[in-house]
Amino acid sequence: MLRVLIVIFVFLVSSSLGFEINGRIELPLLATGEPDYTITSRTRIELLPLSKYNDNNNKKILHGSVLKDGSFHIPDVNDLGSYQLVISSLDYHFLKNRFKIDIGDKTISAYEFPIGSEYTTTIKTSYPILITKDSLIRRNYIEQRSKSIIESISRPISIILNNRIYLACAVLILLTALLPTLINYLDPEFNEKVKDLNTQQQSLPPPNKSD
Amino acid sequence: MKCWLSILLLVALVIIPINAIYDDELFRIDWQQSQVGNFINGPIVVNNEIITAVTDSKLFVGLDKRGILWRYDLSGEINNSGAANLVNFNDNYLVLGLNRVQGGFKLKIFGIDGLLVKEIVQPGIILNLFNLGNGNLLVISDDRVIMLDKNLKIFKEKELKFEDNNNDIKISILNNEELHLFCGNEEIILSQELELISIKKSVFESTAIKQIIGNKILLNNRNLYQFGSKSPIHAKVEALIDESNFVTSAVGTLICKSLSAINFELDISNNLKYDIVDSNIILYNWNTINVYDAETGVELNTINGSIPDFKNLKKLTTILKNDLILTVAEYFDKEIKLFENNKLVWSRDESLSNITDYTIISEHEDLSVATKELEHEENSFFINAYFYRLKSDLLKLFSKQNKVDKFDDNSKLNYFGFNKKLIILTSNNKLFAFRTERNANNDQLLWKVQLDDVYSKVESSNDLIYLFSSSTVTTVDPLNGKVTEIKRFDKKIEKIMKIDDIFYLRLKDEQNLTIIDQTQQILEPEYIIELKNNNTLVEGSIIKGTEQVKTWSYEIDSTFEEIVSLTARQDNKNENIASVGIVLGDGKVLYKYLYPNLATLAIYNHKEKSLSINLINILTGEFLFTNNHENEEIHKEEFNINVIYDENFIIYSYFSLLPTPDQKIVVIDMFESLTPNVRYSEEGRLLSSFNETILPEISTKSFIFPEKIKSLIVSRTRFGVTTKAILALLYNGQIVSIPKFLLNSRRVDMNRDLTATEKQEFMMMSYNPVIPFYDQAAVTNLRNLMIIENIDKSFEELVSTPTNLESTSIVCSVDYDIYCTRIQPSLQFDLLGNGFDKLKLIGTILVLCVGVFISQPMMKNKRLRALWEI
Repeated sequence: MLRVLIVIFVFLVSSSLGFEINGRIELPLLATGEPDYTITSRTRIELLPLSKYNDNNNKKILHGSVLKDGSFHIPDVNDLGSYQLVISSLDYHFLKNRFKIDIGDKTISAYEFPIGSEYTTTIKTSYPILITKDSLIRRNYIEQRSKSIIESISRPISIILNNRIYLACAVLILLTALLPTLINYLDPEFNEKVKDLNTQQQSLPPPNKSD
Repeated sequence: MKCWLSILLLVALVIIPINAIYDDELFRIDWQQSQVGNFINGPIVVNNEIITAVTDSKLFVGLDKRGILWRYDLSGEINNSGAANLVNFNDNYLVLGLNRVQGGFKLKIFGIDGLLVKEIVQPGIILNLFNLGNGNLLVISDDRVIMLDKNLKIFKEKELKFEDNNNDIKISILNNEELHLFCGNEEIILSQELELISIKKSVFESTAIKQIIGNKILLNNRNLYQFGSKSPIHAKVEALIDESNFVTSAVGTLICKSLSAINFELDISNNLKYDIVDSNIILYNWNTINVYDAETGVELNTINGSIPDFKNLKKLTTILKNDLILTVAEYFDKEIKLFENNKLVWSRDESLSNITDYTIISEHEDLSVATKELEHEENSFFINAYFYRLKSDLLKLFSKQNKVDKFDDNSKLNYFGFNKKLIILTSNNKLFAFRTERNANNDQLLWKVQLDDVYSKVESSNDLIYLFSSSTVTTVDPLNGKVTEIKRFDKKIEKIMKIDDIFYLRLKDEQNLTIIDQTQQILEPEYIIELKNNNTLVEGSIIKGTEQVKTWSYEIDSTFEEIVSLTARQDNKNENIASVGIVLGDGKVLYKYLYPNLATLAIYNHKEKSLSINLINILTGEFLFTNNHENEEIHKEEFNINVIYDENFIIYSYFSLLPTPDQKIVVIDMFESLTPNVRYSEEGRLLSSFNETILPEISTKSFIFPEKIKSLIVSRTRFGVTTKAILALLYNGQIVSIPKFLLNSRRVDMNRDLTATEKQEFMMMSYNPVIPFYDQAAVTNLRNLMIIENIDKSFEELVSTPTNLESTSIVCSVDYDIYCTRIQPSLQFDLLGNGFDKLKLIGTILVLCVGVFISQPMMKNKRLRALWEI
């Protein structure tokens, strides 16, 4: 784990093609323990100038690609000054995904730059940018449909209610159990007759063993 | 902080129940047609299963038997030439060399899983890549030769100038020692250490080389050379098999031979194509595929069947994997097919990667079955008719389709108007019809036809498809794509206008307009607004019959200004306006400004990087108001400016660098008066648009959205009762639905709490400039649509069409990918959910009936007993 966290970044200040902005996203782990590589192909990295465009610059907004190890590099930053770095993924929310990058003569410094804030922000952050996997929250595009009353009640009952055969058996058992009570309510005289019949049977002498 | 949290909570509460995709709907109500484009570099096969290529859409793609594995967009990096070199590096990596927009060249190294492993940026222009086969890769630029080792590190570099960058450099390695580079008419020989050994004059140009293997060079003119030889060592050579063997052909015979002797001959009188893979010759016949060992001529494998449409075949690539023969067939009409042992695995029509125009046409319910049933019942004896009806209803109730998938009940889809046809016209003049509703087999294509003419526009009207070329109008039957009528005009069609489902054509040098269907004619005069003179002139006119008379015009300063949008108000006749006002918490009403005949005109100034949004009266050309955005550094070249005008609101989005680089959305709500209960227009009294114009009172707010917006539309429903949703196609490949009540210009000051009256108002909330991106508002859910920037389109990428259900609207996106889904901005209030269980409902009713049946005599008995006790 520590090895993953301890990353050495190469900062090429004096590249022949200008400056290079670097950073790294720690790859989150899937349930299988494998790194989630989808973040590398479904993440956009943009670098935008915080001033008027330089007319000599052909491409005003620069893009970076995330490599398989989670690192990213934006080359061709030709001018000194302030830039906004935006990192957005289709699969994860980042707790911090906007940064102000100040490129000086000798140093590059990074600041937090939340959306909607002034760019006079002063909360300094580490450079090269490091986005730890603890700061990633998986996006949830899908709403779970609320369960019906039957599905949400306790499991044994829901199993019976959701299976037609079990339900039929349960109804049959219930009806059999309730039948004497029902008959008592519906036809008390019939119940009396049954009781009498039972009494008569009990009052009969026991059969002769010799028979 | 508290305020911020409360706003987020409120927003979450508001959005969660809106337009979410439920777990049981995932991938079942939407579909996506993904394109890759046609191969321009490749295909290169890795590990005998992955087909990789760079396509004309500037994509690096990977495909296999399952379909697309990956698509990597190179359009932002690759320069205008679009050329890229792709090479398989030891079956472990795919190395892509491209010349960059920013200058220099880049090596993009991908793993065979399509993940980017490394990027190397170097100055200069890349000319070629060559896998030396000894674990090293040779990179040739215009001024250097670089060698990469198997760990992807540059370990050797040598300065070497290639004067003519346009020359195609061909490379070969001889005896694993000498590197022979053919450039122009020079042969440069280098050692493995990249030391220059010699430079010779070659007897042929490098562009004439078709193939090099070892010391053999085959030219396009079929002459075979050996290194060092000044004259060909063999003529009429078709292809090289390896360093020693090659293929020649005679009438009806394919001859495999070495320099000294003929190895064997194959009868190809019935063969149509052949391919050479790993010292094997694969012959494609009319009815079989035969695989031969190229050295011995022994037949290794025979498969029955044939690749279809040989005449149209552009290129065949064969992959031999165990006993399987995989064939990638590229056709001239932009189709790509994959066959496994001659059986079609998948087919892709890449014509769809270049779409010219599209339209949506409604599909009416097929009532013929119901009519037949009714006729049968009427002509039968009543008992027979009863049993016939009983049987058909029971069959419908317990049909397999009902049990298997509730989503694919076709009669339901037709009845609710979900089945519509998305008609797409491509640049190679193919017309496709897709069903908008997802099909269970994922087979969305209904039909496709190849057209004979070059068409530039497709429209639909009165259940017919109309295609417009420069001088013809063709009518197509939407059921089968057959051409039903072609109308030819002697003069060029300059303008096509659709007014109330009638097409008006303006022909070149014609004074009057031409109506396509002469039986149709607008009786009322119609006022229209249009752009002219290369979008530098806005002109208003009146159409009376076929006569068009100009009424006013407005010209912009074309030196710096550009009209980026002219958007007429949707539903100009106010037919689908659910309410004329907004009811406030105290019961008072703010009356909406529903004045018809208005349009918005967005003008962009390239010099000032500014934008002005104007509201224009179409009848008079009068500007009712203007909203200017100056000193904001708006860059329309990189991110689109979008404007929508619906009901009483205008919403527009733009990206600007100042004050912070963000995507902005501005909302303008227009009211007759911002004072409650004040109304200037009187019900039933007609106002003259010429001299009784009432100016709107404006309420406006601007918002920041976290993602860049490419296209913006308003959701359309049948009666306009459902809450409006603003649908945005984002540059990150998602479509997001933002409820209009979030984009409300009257949201109260964020520094104070809502008053009791404000809380009573529908969805009123405190203002926060940031519209948060809530995951469940993503209509595309887990999907990602490919967005290729810098492609000019003449059509709006997003479209929303109402269905017969007020709650539901069909949304389609036609950009590089095609995507359709259905949305319910106010939830599914008029249709039972998919989780609804009819059987349980019937069961509950039955149990209740039994309960009543049992309890009724019990109650009677109880009452009787009570009476007797008295």
